[in-house]
Amino acid sequence: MQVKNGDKQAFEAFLQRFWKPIFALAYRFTGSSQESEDLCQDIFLRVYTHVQSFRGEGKAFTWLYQIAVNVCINWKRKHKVMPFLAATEEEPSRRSTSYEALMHLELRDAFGSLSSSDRLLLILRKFYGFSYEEISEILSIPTGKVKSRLHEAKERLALKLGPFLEGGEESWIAPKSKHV
Amino acid sequence: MDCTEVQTRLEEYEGGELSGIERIELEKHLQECKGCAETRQKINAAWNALDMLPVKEPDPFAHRRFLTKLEERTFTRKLSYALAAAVVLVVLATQWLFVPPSAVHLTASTSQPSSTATLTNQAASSGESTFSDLTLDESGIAFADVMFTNSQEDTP
Repeated sequence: MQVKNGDKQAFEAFLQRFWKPIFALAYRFTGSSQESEDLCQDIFLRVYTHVQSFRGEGKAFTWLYQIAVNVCINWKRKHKVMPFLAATEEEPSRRSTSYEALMHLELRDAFGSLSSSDRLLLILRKFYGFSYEEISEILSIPTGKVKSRLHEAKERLALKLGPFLEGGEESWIAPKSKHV
Repeated sequence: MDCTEVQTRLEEYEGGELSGIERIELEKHLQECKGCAETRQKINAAWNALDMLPVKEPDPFAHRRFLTKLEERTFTRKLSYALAAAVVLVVLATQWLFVPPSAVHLTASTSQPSSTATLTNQAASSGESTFSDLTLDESGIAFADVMFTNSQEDTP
C-alpha cells in the first residue's frame, strides 16, 4: 500500500477516491453537510495517523470503513440529544401536500429515530452493497449476528414507517439512486 | 418450515444465501401464510424506501482543503520540535559558557539537602557546632542552618 509508505500523491489519490463515499456515509448517518465534512476530516486524519498500524490483514477499504463507523458512533455518543439533522437542510414543508415530500419527511424521521447500529447496518448493506462477511469485519460482530440484526433493523424501520407502507412495496420504489 | 424459521431466514433469502431446497420451502410457506407474506412485503417496502434517503455531494474542494490543513499541521509540528530542540541547545550552551565552575559546584552541593540536614540535626543533638565542616561545602543554605542551630542553643 503506497499510502502506508508515506507517498503523498498516493494519499491524495486515496482521498480523491474515498472522500465522496465516506462523506455520503457520514451524511446519511448525521443528515448534516457540516457535520459530515467534520467527520470526514476526522476519519481521514485517523487514517493518515494510523496507516502505519494497518497490518494489511483484510481489505484496505474495510479498514477505512471500520474507522468511519467508529468515528460515527463516537460522534453519536457526543451528540446524544442531537436529532437527525437532515431536518435542518432543505426540509420539505410539513404543510406540503405532495405525497413524495411527506414520504421524505416520514422516512427521515423514522430513519433518524433508529439506533446508531441499526442505521449503520442499513447504510452499509443498502448503499455500499457490502456482503454479510464484510459488514461482520467492519462492525466486528459475527456474520450470523449481522444477518439477524439487519433483519431486526429492517423490521424496526418498517414498524416506524407503519401506515406509509400500507400502499405496498411498489409505492416506495424510488428511482434508483446511484450508489456510491 | 414454520413461521419462526421463515422470519429468521428471511434476511438470508433476500440476500440470495439460501440453498435451493431451503428457498423452495420458504417460498412455499410464503404462498400459504398470509402473515409471513405481509411481513415480508412491509420489510421490503421499508428497504426500498431507503432509496429516498437524501444524500448530498461533498464540496469538491473539501479533500484538497483537508490536505492543505494536514500539510500545515505536519509543518507546524516539525517546526515546534525544531524550536524546542533549539531552546534546549541554547540553554545548555548558556550554562556551559556563562556559569562559573564554582556555581556549578554550588548547585551540586545544594542538590543534596538531606546530607546537610543530617549534619545540622547531628549538631543540634550533640550541641557541637559543625560550622567548620559545613563551610567546606561553601553552601549558603548549610551556613544558614548552622546559624539557626546555634541561635536555638543560645536561647534558654
